[in-house]
Amino acid sequence: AYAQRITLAEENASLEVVLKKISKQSNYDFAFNSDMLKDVNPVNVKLTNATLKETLDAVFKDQPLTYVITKNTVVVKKKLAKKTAAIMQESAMQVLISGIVKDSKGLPLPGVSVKVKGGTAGAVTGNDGKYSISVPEDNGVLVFSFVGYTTQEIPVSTNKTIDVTLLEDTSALQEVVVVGYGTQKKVNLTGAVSSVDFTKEMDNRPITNASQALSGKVTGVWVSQNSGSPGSDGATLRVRGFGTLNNTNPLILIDGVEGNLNELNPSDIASMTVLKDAASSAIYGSRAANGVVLVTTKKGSYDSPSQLSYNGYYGVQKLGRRFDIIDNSAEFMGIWNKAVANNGGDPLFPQEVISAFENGTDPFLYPNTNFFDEVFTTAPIQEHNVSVKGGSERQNYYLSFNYMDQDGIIKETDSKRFGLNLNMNSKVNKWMEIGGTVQATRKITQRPYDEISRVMYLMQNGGYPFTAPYTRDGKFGATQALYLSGPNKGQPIVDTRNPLPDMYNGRTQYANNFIKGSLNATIKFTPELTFKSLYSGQFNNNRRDRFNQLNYAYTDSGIKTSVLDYPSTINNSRTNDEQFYWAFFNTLDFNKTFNEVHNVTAVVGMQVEENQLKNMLSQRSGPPKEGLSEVDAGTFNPLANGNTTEWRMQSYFGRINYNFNEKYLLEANLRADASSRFSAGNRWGFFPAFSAGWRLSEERFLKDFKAIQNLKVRASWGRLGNQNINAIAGDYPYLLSLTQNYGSSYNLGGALVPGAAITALVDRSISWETTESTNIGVDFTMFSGKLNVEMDYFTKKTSDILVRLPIPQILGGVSAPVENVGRMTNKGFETSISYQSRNGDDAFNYRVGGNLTYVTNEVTKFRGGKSPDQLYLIREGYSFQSLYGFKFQGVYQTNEEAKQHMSNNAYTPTAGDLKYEDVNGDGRLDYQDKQSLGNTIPKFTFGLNLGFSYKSWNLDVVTTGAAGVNAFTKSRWAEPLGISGGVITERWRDAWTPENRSNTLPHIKVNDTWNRYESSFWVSNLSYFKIKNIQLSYQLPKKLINSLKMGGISVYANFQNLPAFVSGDYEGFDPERNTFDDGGGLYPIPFISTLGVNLQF
Amino acid sequence: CTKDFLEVTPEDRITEDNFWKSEGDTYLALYGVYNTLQSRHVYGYGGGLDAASPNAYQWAHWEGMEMQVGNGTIQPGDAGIVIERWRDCYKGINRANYFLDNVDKVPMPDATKEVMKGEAYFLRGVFYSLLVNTYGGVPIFTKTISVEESRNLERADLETSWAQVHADYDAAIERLDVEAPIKGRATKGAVYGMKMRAYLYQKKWDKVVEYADKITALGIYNLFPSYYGLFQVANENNQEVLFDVQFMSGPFSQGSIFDRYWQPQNLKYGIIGSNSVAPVQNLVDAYETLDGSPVNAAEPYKNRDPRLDFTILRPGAYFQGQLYPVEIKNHTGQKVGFGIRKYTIENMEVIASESPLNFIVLRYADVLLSKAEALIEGQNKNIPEAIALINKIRNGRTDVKLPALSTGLGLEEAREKLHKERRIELALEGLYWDDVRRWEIGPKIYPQQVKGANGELIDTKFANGYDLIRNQLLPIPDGEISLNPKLIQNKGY
Repeated sequence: AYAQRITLAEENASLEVVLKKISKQSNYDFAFNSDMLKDVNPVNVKLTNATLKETLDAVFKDQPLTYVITKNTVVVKKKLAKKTAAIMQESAMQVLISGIVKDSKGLPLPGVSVKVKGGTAGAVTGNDGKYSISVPEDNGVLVFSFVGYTTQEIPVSTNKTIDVTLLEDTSALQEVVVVGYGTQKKVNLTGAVSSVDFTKEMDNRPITNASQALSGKVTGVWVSQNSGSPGSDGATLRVRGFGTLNNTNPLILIDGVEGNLNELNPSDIASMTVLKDAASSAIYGSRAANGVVLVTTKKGSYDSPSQLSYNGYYGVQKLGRRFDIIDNSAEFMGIWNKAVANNGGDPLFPQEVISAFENGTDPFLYPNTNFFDEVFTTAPIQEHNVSVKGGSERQNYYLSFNYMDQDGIIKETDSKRFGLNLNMNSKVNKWMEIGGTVQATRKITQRPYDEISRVMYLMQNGGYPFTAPYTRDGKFGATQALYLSGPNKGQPIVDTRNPLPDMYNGRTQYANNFIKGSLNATIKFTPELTFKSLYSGQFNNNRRDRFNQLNYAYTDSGIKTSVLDYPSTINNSRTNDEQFYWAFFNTLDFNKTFNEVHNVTAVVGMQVEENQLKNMLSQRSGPPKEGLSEVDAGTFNPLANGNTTEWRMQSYFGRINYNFNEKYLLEANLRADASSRFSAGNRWGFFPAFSAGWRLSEERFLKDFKAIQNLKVRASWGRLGNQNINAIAGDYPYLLSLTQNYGSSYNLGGALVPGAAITALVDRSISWETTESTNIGVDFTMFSGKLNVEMDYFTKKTSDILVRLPIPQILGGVSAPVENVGRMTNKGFETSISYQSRNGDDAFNYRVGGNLTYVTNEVTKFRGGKSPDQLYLIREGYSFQSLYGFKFQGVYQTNEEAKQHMSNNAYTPTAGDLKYEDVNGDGRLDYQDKQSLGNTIPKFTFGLNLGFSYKSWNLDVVTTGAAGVNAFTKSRWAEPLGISGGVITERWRDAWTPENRSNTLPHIKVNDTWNRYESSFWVSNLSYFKIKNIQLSYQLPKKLINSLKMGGISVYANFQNLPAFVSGDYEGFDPERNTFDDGGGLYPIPFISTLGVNLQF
Repeated sequence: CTKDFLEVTPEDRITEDNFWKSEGDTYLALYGVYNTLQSRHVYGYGGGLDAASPNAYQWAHWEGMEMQVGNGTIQPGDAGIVIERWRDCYKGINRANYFLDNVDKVPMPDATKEVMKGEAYFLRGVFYSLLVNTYGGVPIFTKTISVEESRNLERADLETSWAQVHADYDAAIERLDVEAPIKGRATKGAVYGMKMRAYLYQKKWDKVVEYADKITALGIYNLFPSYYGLFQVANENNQEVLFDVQFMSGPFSQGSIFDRYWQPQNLKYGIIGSNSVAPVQNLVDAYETLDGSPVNAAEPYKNRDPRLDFTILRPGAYFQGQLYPVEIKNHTGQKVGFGIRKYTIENMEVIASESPLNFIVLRYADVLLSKAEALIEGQNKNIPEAIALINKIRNGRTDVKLPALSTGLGLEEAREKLHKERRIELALEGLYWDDVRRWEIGPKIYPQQVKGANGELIDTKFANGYDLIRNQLLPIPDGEISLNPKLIQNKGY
């Protein structure tokens, strides 16, 4: 339950009245026997914002009574003389109590557990709701508990019969969620908000980046982890589709301050809330158009004992889905020869070479290498997290240390993270609370000199099976396809593209040091009026050190070769990006209930922030010895870069909530933002929002309908802005400037002469993008809170989208001005349903939760319908970045067929070439024959969560998926032989040949343009469904834990990213990936299995 | 306070508001125009453009699509030269326009200013001439234009387009001196030369002769004594050079890509070239023997025009003291079996894409050959004088001594000799594609098979024959037409 604060001012009041008041303010029930209250003293007490315990201590100070706080109930008891208590307990006479337990409708409740508090006696109600139990006379408290109902404690009095009515547990209705600049009771929300309680739902999962956590958990949020690269494996979050043509990342606020999930230790997160519609996010105005994710970190609480926890796991990661490449050298050469023949060329590999590989057994002479086995590996991962939290009456604290060590599934990649987090709060006096946070994260990520993209590039464009990974004496291997006779005897037939010399080439090391400090103060002027102030500064330093080495590859016969495009000099470089961001905001909160039914809360505030990024590069080449990796060691070609970019914002905002008796709910927001990214005069944006809700369940006509605990309809409208445009326009998009750099300069007589030119046009009048969003939703809770349903319909219309319209190249290739010209809509529907069984603590229980989001995106204005034809089309009437190209209709079976079909085309296709639809029937293939090939934004995203528990065992399953989505897949993996030689996947065994007249796969050619046009042949349905996570945990028995003097021990096994179900024609890595590119360069996400332990001391 | 807090300006760039204030600004802008000369498809791919001609083959077909130009499969939507030559020539034109529109705002000595204007006019003329030669008539504009205007331009006809080229050259001639303020900037001789080339491409023969004579009359140009030396770093800006694109080494983006792209692999000095463009047998065969005898099949490289070895890396030759293609090798994708030697650097260490050697756009040998051609083709024919000029090329240097041609040749023979001499003398200098087109010899020389070192067939240039309409020009880039439908596509595309 949420710790409500209590304010009391009583003089000579009756205890009973005072207790009722406390009950009302605290939402705790009081259990007492009215006989007890006969001999009590009048109460004199004056308290402001006290905790329940403080209040009760004051109230009971001079009473012959005392109290015990249980879950939701305060049980009032007679005070006992301490010395006799123990004796009495042992010698007390047992009395038999019996009674009947009923629900609120008067029906008997079977299966209710009845226990003596602190004792061993227990009973269970029968089918008729009846029970009987022996308890010590005059000193017992009976505890009645049943899942789904509020536990009640009844002190045993002289009555031998105790009948009890158990009420449905409606604590879900008390749930409080974090909203912008405050918190709100969930039932009173009028906007569209989803939240995830991390302590309940995320424990123990091997989440390497906090952004992965929401996967499959909430509606309206599409989470796609596009990379498995250690240290940079953050997921992309999209709230309700793609809201703009520009940056569509939601605003991330960590404890109220803009931040980055990469810098957060996932174990420090207490909850995440996603604000999805305008009403709930309008308080963040210009930053909120793409949704807002509010992250609340863990904190200590006052008056709580110290608690030390350790959570750690160790696991292994493996590559899941992969491309099945042909790794038989002889077969590979045969296919290549056929491809050359299809171009009219003569065979590349002489038959004697192919035969030698067919018959050869020496793996160094005749290798059949599958580079997946050489480049990928099974990699360990481990994480350890220690935290301690607690608090006294006036101070609380939370301290955590985190260590994560992850090796990549691609060799030579790894990342380590060290995190430290300290949060402290202090009640300075009755009206002031001061708190602060210090968070430090250090992350070291290592990759090869030329990054994984280079290793992948070589593997794709040359992971030839006839290349030995290593020679017999351990050097890097070269191609073993050598001429066996003729003038080139012993010479390689194709060049060496072994990816290993690059994989083991030097190092690129990223060191990320992040330090955040924030200080906040809360001042309570009156119980109604609170002032809050927060300053946060974040220092983020990203350093990249690179050095390379000269690696060569050797044939078995000792011929030394270099790998394609391998650097010929050694370069040592260091780049340093230093970012400092600070934000300062002040809010004034007002909270008052008038006439007990008019609840008003309001907040007004102002905020200023600044972001400054300074970067520099230094580089020198040619250190005198290999292994000298510092810049200073270089001997020539010194190089230096350095720059600063900066933006600032200033904002005012306010919100007012009114509700009538928690039945009729109204909210209004307004924010005004000014950004330095726009010129004076175009700077300010105003972002209003309104919303309303009606809790039908509070109306008389539904109040008696007990199956329904909550039913609310809500609607909202609002306007939001987006100034997050630096990706498209930088920090100074309105400023016309001349570029002066090496690329615009010239040289005369061997000396550089600097030159300058306008390389980008600007529109000085640009201003905010705005998104108008409406939302209609309904929430209901039924069957004692077992069933919860939320449904929303929404529209999001973004206008004045900042776009660089394509401009003619006749302007000299300058980049187009950024203008407020695009429009886009997202419409959709989202629903989440959860059902929870309630079969008692030890029995079999289950939870089922499902969520589904349907979004359609449409670009509604962009260049008046005239936009350039491009694979990822941006055009009016189409979903953003729809695939666009030729439509594949089969394979030409004869030259005549091809010639007839493409009678006017410059290139005349032949039998075996793909046949594309000639839309206008002019016998040639050009831009007029291109058409939409499907959307890349998923129409449906969904998740299904299952939980099972039985006694101490728990099984949790999180699944996620997408449907109605396509991806372009012509990557260098999928293209047979790449552009100049490369891998061939197994499906090309069925490629068209005169003997094997396929109508689905064309013939393989080298230097092939025709079959590699952007067409539906290279488009796959990327709908998928996968188990994101399975966790099985076991809680060690209480007895054992008690004997160890521990708070709790659990062990768990966890599996993440299990193989996905995906449509049969999809070839490649895990389908959870970016759909805006061909997936060729991606670092596949790993399948992770971990074993862990969770200790509470 | 509010206003100040939100007023953030960058300190890494020149904003337009504080430009055009000082003489230094005008130099920045002018050198920004010169910079465009280095663009890949202006002059930055150098002799690689010969891959569009029968001289060479671009196996690295994705590089700039010269291969597709060279075998007739180029399409309007293709990347590479189709769009980049258009874009980058106009880049230079826009920069020159911007300079000319604004330079008068700057207080500075007139003499200096006029020379700089002359250079801007000259460069604009060069860019327009490349455009006209590549695409036919093109949109002409001589002022800074707006985005909206750029979407509504129409193509001028061929005559008007050439007229603009000459207008620019004339404006430059008025202003430029015989000697440049610094070597590498344009001179009067450079403009004369480029104007002569424009007339050559227009087949205005008398004018070719007139401007060739003007160049000679300047008295400072002559053949460089050594054909080999002409292309060495030590001899840059020599007496034969009328105009070149300046390159220098170092990490300043001021080097040429020639070594990175032309050289083979396994060199002593470390560059791993991709020899993307390879001279083909057809070109090798065009080199004469020293004594006119047939090539000896057993020793094909003996007794040949020495320019063969100065231009082409052939089997059995040494480069950096290493034997080709045994010690140094072709990129394995490059099956043709020859490499380019012209414009590669043998005697010093070069870092990839940082080659210092200038690329000569126009040299005096070309002036002689152009005049010779005009004397053969023009109204006022003078074949003996033409042959005399050709003979200067054949034996006017210390390291090229070929038997003189008879001055008594007939028209057809003289034309054939001129064509052949021009092809050989200027091989792999990026001019032969122009020559093939203006001589209209495509139907005669194509289809042409491209064979590998082992005699295997690699590709066939213009397998379906050469089309004298379509293949004479590149298409207007597809994307440009989609943004500006007023641009009419060239015939055949």
